[in-house]
Amino acid sequence: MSRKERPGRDRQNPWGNSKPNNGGRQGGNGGGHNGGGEPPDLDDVLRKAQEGLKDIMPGGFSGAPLFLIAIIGVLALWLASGIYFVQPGEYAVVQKFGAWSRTQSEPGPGYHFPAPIETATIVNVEEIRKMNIGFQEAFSRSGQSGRRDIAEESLMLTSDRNIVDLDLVIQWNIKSAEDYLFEIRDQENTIKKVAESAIREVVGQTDMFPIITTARSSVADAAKRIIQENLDQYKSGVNITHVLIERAEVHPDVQNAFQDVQSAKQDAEDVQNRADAYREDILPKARGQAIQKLQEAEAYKQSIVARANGDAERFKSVYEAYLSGKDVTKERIFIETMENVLRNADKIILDSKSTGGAVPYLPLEATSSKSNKR
Amino acid sequence: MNKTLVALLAIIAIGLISASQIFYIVDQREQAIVLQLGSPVGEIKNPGLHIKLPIIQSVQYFDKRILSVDPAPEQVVISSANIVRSPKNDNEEQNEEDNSSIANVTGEPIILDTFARYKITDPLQFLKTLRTIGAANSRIENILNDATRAELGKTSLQQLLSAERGQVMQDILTRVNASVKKDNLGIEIVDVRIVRADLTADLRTSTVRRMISQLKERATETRAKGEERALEIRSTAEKERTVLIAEAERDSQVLRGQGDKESIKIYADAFNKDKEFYSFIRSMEAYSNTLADPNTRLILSPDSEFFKHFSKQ
Repeated sequence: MSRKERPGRDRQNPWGNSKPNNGGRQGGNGGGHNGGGEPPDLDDVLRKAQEGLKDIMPGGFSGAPLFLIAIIGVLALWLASGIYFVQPGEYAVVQKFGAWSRTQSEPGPGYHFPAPIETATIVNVEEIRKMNIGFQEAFSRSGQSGRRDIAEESLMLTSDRNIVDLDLVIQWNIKSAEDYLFEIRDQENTIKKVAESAIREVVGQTDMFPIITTARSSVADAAKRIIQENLDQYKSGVNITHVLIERAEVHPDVQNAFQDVQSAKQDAEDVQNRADAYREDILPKARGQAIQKLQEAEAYKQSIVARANGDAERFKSVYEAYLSGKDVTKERIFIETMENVLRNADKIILDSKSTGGAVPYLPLEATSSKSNKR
Repeated sequence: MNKTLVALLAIIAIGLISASQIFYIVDQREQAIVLQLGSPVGEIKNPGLHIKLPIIQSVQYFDKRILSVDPAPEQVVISSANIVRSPKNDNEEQNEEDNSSIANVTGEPIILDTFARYKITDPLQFLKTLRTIGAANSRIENILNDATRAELGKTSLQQLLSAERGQVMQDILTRVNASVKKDNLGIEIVDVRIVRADLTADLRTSTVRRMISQLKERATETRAKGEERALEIRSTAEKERTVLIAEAERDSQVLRGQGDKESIKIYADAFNKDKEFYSFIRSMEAYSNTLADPNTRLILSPDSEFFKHFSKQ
């Protein structure tokens, strides 16, 4: 394969611009070092070597091909070591004699001159990398993923001097492969330190309750902005894609008290709801009672008026009849009433004239016994 | 053949050795200085392939990237003229002394974690003063430590927990860069940041206690406010009920009164036609209603109107 490629490379003649270097190198190496893979020289050298061998060992031709094959094999391997493949999402950063030469961003095979002339570093720029702050992902024996809290990372002071417990996930990728490789040494550690610093800066300017309730995402956004600014300032080539607050709670020891505040809110609401229910219970009943009272009064009014009207009408009728024969009617009514009264009542008739001045004796026992019987 | 091979290999070996003495490669991440018998010669070398004199010249490489200084967290007292830095390996007595001195000053002890990022800007100067990254790191740590303590001595925790934090970090950076420049170390501090400014363990426990009591207070207050509101709702409802019923009673009394008035008027109108007859007929009615009862005992005189025919016989 490398033999097939060779003519192509010949035509390119990439050594043209660095001739002095090559020349110097060849001078130093003599014929033995094969001139850094320069094909025309190689043929030359091989021919010379062959001739030399022939000179030294006339008739010993059998050793020459073996020697040749070995040299060609080593050369071929050396040249082939410059082949690399770039996967989608990856960049290949090529350095020539240490200095940055080019970056291949298209996926596919590529070739660099073998070490030590050129080296290639493949960097995955699209891969989203994750970094946890405040906890460590731990895998238990059963294979379930759990997390182990790192207190010194996750506990933070808020602006109202409370302590919150935050777990953060930073997602990032590389936006500049060259910067990432050449401009900063401790890339991941720097991201982590900057992120910790940034989140604490933001949390330190926010009160506790918002952080653990509504302001989570705005805190994360502010932290993300600070992290990105700092990393850009360092020319780190890092792009923060996401800052996620996975868990935001109060200090673990305060958890119970905090829960109690939450349940107190529920309790307060509950008590109010019950009061509302009570209100909704008694007010309609009271309205009902009011209506009942009014209706009763109305009934009384109407009935008393009706009775009065009835009584009046009856009196009028009786009176009209009475007018036609006043004395007779009066007499009759009197007698009938007396009859009615005396028919039922217990009666004693005392003649004051016949008894004279004697005090009438009344059988009080009978009266009392009668009343007792009642 | 063997002789040729040996000769060839010897040539290759000599070639490689002399090449390594003449050529050197400076990586993209580095900068280099050539030293001739220990003293620097020539310019600072950029990345690429370079030539030097064999044997008498050697090459010193320096990192060109941003380098890290991450000192261990330390205890400082914030916002006080008296800065107490408690050494970690102290015995108990000294710790107690520390605590008492902390109690005497107005400041609070906090655990401070900072980091710095720097670059070697002048390798020649760097080589003269610091030589190695390790030496540079410990020197920067010291400078950073001094600068932080000086800055935090005039900063309160309240300020650190506010928008002023950025300014504090900026001031520390300025201070650090000033002393780096003064000492001419050949480096530039790119950034200084406070990672953590946390309470010490003691203060943390008391803070937790305060948080708990505050939260308890809040819970109690919330519950009490709930009760307050509930009582308000209940009492308002009860008031409304009482008023409703009282108003209904008032209205019903008005109605009853109207009824009474009307009926009295009707009776009066009717009975005024003949007062005497009304008196008579109403009495009669009343007698039969009240006296026509077996329990009524009447003692009558035969002289009465009812018996006028009775006595004549």
